[in-house]
Amino acid sequence: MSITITGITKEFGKTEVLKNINLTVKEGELLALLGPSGSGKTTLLRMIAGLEHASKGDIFFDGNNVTNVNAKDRNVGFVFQHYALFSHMKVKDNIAYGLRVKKKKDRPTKPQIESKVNELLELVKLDGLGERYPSQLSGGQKQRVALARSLAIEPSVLLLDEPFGALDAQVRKELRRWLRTLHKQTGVTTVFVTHDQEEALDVADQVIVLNGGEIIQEGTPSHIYDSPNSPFMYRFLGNANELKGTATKEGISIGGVTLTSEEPHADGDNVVSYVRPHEISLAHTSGNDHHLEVEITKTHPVGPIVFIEAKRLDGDREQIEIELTKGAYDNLSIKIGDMMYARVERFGTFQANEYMI
Amino acid sequence: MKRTLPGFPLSFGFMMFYMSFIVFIPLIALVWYTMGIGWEAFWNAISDPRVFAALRLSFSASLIAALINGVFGLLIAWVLVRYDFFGKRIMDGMIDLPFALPTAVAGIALTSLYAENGWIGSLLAPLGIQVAFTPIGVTIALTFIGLPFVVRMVEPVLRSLDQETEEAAGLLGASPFTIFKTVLFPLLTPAILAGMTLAFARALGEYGSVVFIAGNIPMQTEIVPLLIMNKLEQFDYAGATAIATVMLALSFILLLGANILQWWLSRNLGQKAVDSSR
Amino acid sequence: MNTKTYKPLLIFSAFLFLTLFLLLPLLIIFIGAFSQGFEVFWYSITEPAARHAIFLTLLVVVVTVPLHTLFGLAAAWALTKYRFRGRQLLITLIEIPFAVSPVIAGLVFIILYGVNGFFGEWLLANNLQIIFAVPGIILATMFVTLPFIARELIPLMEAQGSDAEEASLTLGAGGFRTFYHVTLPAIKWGFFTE
Repeated sequence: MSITITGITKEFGKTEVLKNINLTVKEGELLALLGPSGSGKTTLLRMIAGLEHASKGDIFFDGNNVTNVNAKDRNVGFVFQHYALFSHMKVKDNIAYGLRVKKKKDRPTKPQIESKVNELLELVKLDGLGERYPSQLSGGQKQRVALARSLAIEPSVLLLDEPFGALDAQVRKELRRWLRTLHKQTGVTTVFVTHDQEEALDVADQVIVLNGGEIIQEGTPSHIYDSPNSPFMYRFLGNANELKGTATKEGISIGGVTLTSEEPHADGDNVVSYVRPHEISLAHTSGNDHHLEVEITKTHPVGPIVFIEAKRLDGDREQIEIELTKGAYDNLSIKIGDMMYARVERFGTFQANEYMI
Repeated sequence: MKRTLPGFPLSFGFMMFYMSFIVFIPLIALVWYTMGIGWEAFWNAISDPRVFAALRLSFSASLIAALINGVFGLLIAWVLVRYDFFGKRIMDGMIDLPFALPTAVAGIALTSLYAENGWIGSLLAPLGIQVAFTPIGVTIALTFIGLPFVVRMVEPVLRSLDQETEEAAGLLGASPFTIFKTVLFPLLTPAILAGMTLAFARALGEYGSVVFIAGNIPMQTEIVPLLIMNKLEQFDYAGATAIATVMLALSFILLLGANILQWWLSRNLGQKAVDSSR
Repeated sequence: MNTKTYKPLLIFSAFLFLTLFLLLPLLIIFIGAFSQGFEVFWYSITEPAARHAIFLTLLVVVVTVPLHTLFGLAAAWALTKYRFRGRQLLITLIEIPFAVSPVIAGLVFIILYGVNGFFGEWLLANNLQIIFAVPGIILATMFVTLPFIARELIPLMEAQGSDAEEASLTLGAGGFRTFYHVTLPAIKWGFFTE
C-alpha cells in the first residue's frame, strides 16, 4: 500500500513541530525517516498510524483519505522503541492479541490463530519461546515479539519507531540486516524512524531527512550520502571539515589554493566548503593539483582506519581531520610533525550565511 | 527467584522485629486471654443472636462499601490521572479528607446530611428510602472512610503504566473497552484489590463515624466494634475478648483470602481476560 | 485510545460521587464549625484542653511517622523483591491492624499493660504507666496506623519491577507520598484518643 502525505502541519500550542510536509512512500518501499531528536520524525510516524492528529493536511493510503480514520481501523503495524509488550501475557498471547480482539465475524478460529502464531514465531526466529513471558526475554527478542505481534494482523503498512534504539550495538546490527530480509520476504510498505544515519543508509531503500519539522533532503541512501544539499546534511551525516573561502571565477579560493567547482557562486561571495575526512588524500610532494599544505599533529589508528589530525599552514591555520585506510597510511609512513600536501577529492560549497543555521 | 538483590535479611529482619512488637504480641495476648476464659464462657458470649446479627451487618456493610469504593475509586483515579479539567486539584485534595478528619466528626456530618430532615435525607424520604439509622446509613459511613484507599492505590500504578502499551493494543484493532478489559484492567487489578481489601479491613474496624448514623439498634444496626464497646462498658472483659477474637479470626481469613486471590490474579488474569473476550 | 469520548461522562460521575459522599458532609462540618461565629470557633481551638490535644497529636506524629516509614520501606522491599513461602500471610498480618477495631486495639493494650494485665505487675513495680498515658496513646496509634505506608508501597514496588534505579525513584516519590498519608491518619488518631 502506498502512503501519500500532503501539507501536513502540526502545532503543539505555539510550537510548530511539522511544517507543511509532503511526501510519498511507494508500495513495498522501505523508507527511513531520519533526523535529530526534536525534528518531528516520530510525530510524523505517529500521525501515519493515527496516534496523533494533524493540525492541517491529509494522509492517504492508496489514494484513500485516512486522515480521520481511527488508529484501530487503519490496519497498520506499529513497533515501539520500548516494545510496549503486554507484560501480563505470554509471548504467544501477545502475538495473537490483534487476531483475538477482532470482531466475531472477522476473527480466525482458534486453530487458525495458533498456526498463525507459530508461523510468526518461526518468522522472527523465536520458535519455542511462545510460552515465555516478555520479562524472560532479551531486548532483541522482545523487539522481535513486538514485530511479530504487529505483523499478525497482516498490516497494510508497517511503522517502526526507533526500533533498535534501546538495543546494544551488536544486536542492533543483526536486527538491521534481519529487518531488510524480513522486508524482502513480506513486501509490506515499511516506514521506520531513526536518528542514526548509518542505520538509515544501511537499511532503507529511500531516506527522508527531517530537521526542525521540515524535510531537508530526500532520496536513495547513496544520493543522500554523495550529494548532501546543505551544511546541515554534511554535519548530520558524519564528520566534515569546514573550510572558509571565497568564490572566484576559477572556483573556490581557500587559503592559498583554488578548488575547481562547477557549482555556481557569485564572484567574491564568502563561502564554506565541506570536506569529509576520508575524502582527503595526503602526499609528501606537491603535484600539479591544488594541494593544501599541512603539518601532521596527531595520528590515531583504529582497526582498518587511521584518524589523522593536521594543521593547515596557510590561511586560517585551522585543524583538519583526515581518515586514511591502514594500507595508505603505512605506504606513506606518516610521522607526527611531517609537512604534507592534502588533496581534497570531493567537497560541497555553500554560501557562508547558510552556514549559520 | 530474585534473591540477587541485596538487603533481604536486613529488611525482612527489621520488618519481623517491628511487627512482633506492634502486631504479634498484642494479637497473641488477645487470643491467649480468650483461651483463658474457658470454652463455655467463650461459647456463651458468641452464641448470642445479637452477636450474629452484628457480625453479619459488619461484614456485609463493609463488603458493599469496599465494592462501591472499588468501582468509584478506579473511576476517580482514572479521571485524576488521565484527564485535565477544571477542579482537578480540588478533587485531588479532597480525596484524602476522610483520612484527615476525625471520624466522629464525619459521622455527625453524615448523620445530619442523611437524616430525614437533612439535605439528602429529605430528598429520599418521600421515595420511602430511609438512610440514617438503617444498614444503608452504616454502608454510607463505611464508604466514606474507605474512599481514599482504592484511589491512592490505583493512581500511582496507573501513572506508571506505559501508555504505549494501550496504543499498541489500539493499533492492533482493539476498541477502548477491549483495551481496558484486556490490557489495563489486568495490570490494575492487584492495586484495585489491594485498595478494596484495605477499605474493607478499615470498614470492619471503623467505630467513630458509624455510631452516629447507625442508631445502634441491637439486631438491626449494631456493628461489632460497638457491641464490644458495650461489653467493655459493662466490664464484661471475657465477652468483649471472645467477640474480638471471633472478629479477628474472620477478618484474618477474609484478608488472607483476598491477598491470595490478588496474588493469583496478578499472575493469571491477563491470559483469562483475553480468552474470555473471544 | 479514544477515551476522550467518555471524558465528560467519567468526570461527571466522579464529581457526582464525590459530592454525595465527601463534599456535602464537609460542607456541613464547615457550616457547623462557624455557625456560632468565628470567635467561638477560635476560642474552642485555643482553650487549654484543645492546645494540649494538638500538642499530643504532634508528639504522636513525630514518634510514629519515622518509625512507620522505616518499617514500610523494609516491609515493601522484603515482600516485593523476593518470593518466599508465607508472603501473602505476612501481607495479611500487616493489614490486620486495620480490620481490628480501635476498640479491640484498646482492649488488647489493657490486657497487656493494664493493672491486671500480663505486664501490669512488672510495670507497677517499676513505676511505669502506659495505659491512660502518652505511651499508651502512641502504642495504640502505632498499632492502628501500621498498614498505611507498607500497604501503599507494596503495589507500587510491585508495579515498578526490580529495576534498582526505578525502585529508588519510587522510594523517593513514595516516601513523600506516604509521609503525607501516614501523617494525616496519625493526626486523626491523635484526636480520637484524646
